[in-house]
Amino acid sequence: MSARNVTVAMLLVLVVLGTWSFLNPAWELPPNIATYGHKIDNLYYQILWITGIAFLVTHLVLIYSLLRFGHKGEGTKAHYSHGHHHLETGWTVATGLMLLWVAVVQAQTWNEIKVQEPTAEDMFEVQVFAKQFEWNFRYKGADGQFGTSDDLYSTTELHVPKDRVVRLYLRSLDVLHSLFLINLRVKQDLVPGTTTRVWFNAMQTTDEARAKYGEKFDFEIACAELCGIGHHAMRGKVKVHSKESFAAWQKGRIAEQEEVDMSGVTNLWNGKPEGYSVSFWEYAGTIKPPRAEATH
Amino acid sequence: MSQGNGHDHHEMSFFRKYIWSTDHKTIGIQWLFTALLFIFLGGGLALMIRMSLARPGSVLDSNYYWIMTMHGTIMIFFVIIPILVGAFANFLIPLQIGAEDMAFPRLNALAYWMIWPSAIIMLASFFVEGGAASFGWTSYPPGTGTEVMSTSGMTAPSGGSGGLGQTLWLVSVFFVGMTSIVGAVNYVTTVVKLRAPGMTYFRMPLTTWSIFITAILAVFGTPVLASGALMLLADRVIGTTFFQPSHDGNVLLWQHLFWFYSHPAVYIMVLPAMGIVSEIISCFARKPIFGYKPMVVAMSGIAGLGFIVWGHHMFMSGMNPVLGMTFMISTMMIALPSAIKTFNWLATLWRGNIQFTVPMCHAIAFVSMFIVGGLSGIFMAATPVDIHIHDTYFIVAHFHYVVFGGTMFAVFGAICFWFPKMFGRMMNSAWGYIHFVVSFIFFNLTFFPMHMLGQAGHPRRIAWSYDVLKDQGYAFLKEYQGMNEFITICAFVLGFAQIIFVLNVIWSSLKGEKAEKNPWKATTLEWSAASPPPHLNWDGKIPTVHRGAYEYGSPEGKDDFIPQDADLTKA
Ligand SMILES: [Cu+2]
Ligand SMILES: [Cu+2]
Repeated sequence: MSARNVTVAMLLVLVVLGTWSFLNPAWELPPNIATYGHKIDNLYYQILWITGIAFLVTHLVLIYSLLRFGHKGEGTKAHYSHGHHHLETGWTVATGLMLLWVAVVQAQTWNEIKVQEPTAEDMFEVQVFAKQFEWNFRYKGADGQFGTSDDLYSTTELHVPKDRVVRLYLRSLDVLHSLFLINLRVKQDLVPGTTTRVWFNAMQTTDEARAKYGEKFDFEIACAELCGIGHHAMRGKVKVHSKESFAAWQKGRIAEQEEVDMSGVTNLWNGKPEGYSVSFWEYAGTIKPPRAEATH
Repeated sequence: MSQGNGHDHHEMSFFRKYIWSTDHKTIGIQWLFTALLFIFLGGGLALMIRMSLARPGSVLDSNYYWIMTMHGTIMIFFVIIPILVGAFANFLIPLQIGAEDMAFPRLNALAYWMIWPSAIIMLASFFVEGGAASFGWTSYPPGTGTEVMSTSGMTAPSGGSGGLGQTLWLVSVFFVGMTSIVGAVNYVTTVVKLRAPGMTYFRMPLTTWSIFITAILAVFGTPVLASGALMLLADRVIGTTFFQPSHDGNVLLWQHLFWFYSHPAVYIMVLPAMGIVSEIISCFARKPIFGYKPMVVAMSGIAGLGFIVWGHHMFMSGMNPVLGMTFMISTMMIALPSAIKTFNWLATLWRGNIQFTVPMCHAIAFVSMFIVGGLSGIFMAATPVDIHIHDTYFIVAHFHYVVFGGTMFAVFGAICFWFPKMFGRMMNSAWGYIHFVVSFIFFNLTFFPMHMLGQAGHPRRIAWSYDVLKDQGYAFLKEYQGMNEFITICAFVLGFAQIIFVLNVIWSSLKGEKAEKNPWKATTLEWSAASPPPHLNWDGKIPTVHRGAYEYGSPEGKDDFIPQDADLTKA
């Protein structure tokens, strides 16, 4: 049990376990339901292959060298070399081209998802309003406008129709949050002071997914930016509906909202929150709160 | 230069010699022990993090965020940076370039002693009302932007950094920054001004090169962090609004300032390790380092590119996505010099005459772990893929492979390698091997599964993901709770294995076998001084340098190594 054998054995185990875990079909990306999601997933697996091969090759060279070039005893000398110009240029250029290629391929998809946004006419728009440790959503009413009395609201659950471009406008009332829709391959920080936005197009309804993954399955929402003591509890769900079930949900929600007094909620959204001297909706829009109101 | 000033050869008092010393070797060892002290605090916090994740529902839940914040802060500012650019830079630069001491020995002592006010302020923040800072080592405003918000009728973000803790954190980090700058100025001056006769830049050992480049990084990067910290401090205590969105302040500005320093800081935490590993690998492969100049160019490339990649931390921040694209390209490019270095290490081993000493095992582990950590970085650099894995456990796995698997293994190797020079005694190698094997196995068992957690979408920085007993939490992570528990167990073994190392250091420094001048048959100048070197290192006889740093296996020499200062014409 020489130090060499132990080191080599550990590296071998690393190589075997590493390769096995990356090839293991049980460990794959979570189910994707976004139209562009497969592109992200393919790129992920593509990089996994490239890095996996790089990992294997370098480790096999390392392990081989350790086994083959062990010390041959007092008085022996290693091969005397200070380097090799062509070899050096060769691997530099090869690696450089490989990285550049990865960057270019990635840039195309990034461009598609983040820079060129869809311009569909019948886009479904939702305002997302995050505050410590809660996700709130506002939907347009029949008049097709935000900020009117027929707006619909929901907390924790984001309701969207299937097969329609959904655009979310993200605003935060207090600190940074990050909207992470795991199965929709969406992640976007909510930055107080600005409105950020994301889009997606869901290809599967919650019911369809439940038929596949079990009764209790849901598309979950996580907060991915540390936002305070309840950060881990800032959870939510995306409910993707078929046309009919979405209409049913809207109807039910209208009825529910008529029964309860919504003025508190609307005030919050319209810029008269209680407890916060900084009104998000004011500074997000054109009106700024008076300075004195928010000094510490 | 002030070299030699006030360094008369009269017997110094214990206090002058060991405490208020200006000798670079003593200061280096002071840095080393300071860092080894803090590693237990940082490590203990890490184990508390793991307990919280494995067993939701305990008292740790509500304390998780400050524990996590302090783990990162202490490990970065009080362990890794102090060991690399405090301990080894101090101990090695003068010895490796043939100088009697640093260019500014008193400034050097000052830099060390300034870490203490900073550390005391940081430690004090554990005990103030509201607890220590709890918004991560990144301290993003506005969560950190205002002190005690409730006074204005604004509710403090619950558990947010509303209290004194965050203010103290900023003050402390500001001082750490000052320490870094003062130290770095000294290192740069020493390397430029005090090299021994014949020691040209391209004969310098790669460790010195790496620290030289790191110091330049620190000089340019740290002032940005320090000014950012001052601005945020001003927001908190005197009511400025640099980062306050309510008054047109810009939240993202902090992220830009912070990462403009903190990305280079990542390299501050790994470049010296790369230098150290080059040194150890060349010595125990008994072969010159393959591609010495490409190694130097690669390190300079990393340092240069390191200043234009910070935006890769902000792909999802709301920054213009077009800007994200340019940061992706620069980030991909910075992978190139790291790859070149890896190839050169492998080529150094190729056709070598490899001795598997304890430091060599650690250096080999560094190469292996750095490959894993480097490759996993490509996932995050790729912007579309980053959408899914950003701020998940994938990144936690990635940077622990670089900083723990990489840097910490290099540090273990470095301590074993230079131990005879530091203490005049050899480190016990049996215990050295045991510590190495346990650390390597349990490091991988702890951090490799985190890639899988990240792939599944497990967010980082959450106190727990799924409480099995109460059946609540992220349902998609329910099946991964077992993995979280497994990681926690492995983390504990990994943590406790470090006690072996520290006991070995302490025992060997007192009782270890006496070391000769050059126990590893190495070539660089520090091995021509006594073990441990006396005050002023060579008793006034500064060596003259005749050749490059890694003449191993040269056909010219009788032995398989020719020291840098050996004059073959006289022999
Ligand atoms: Cu949040
Ligand atoms: Cu970075």
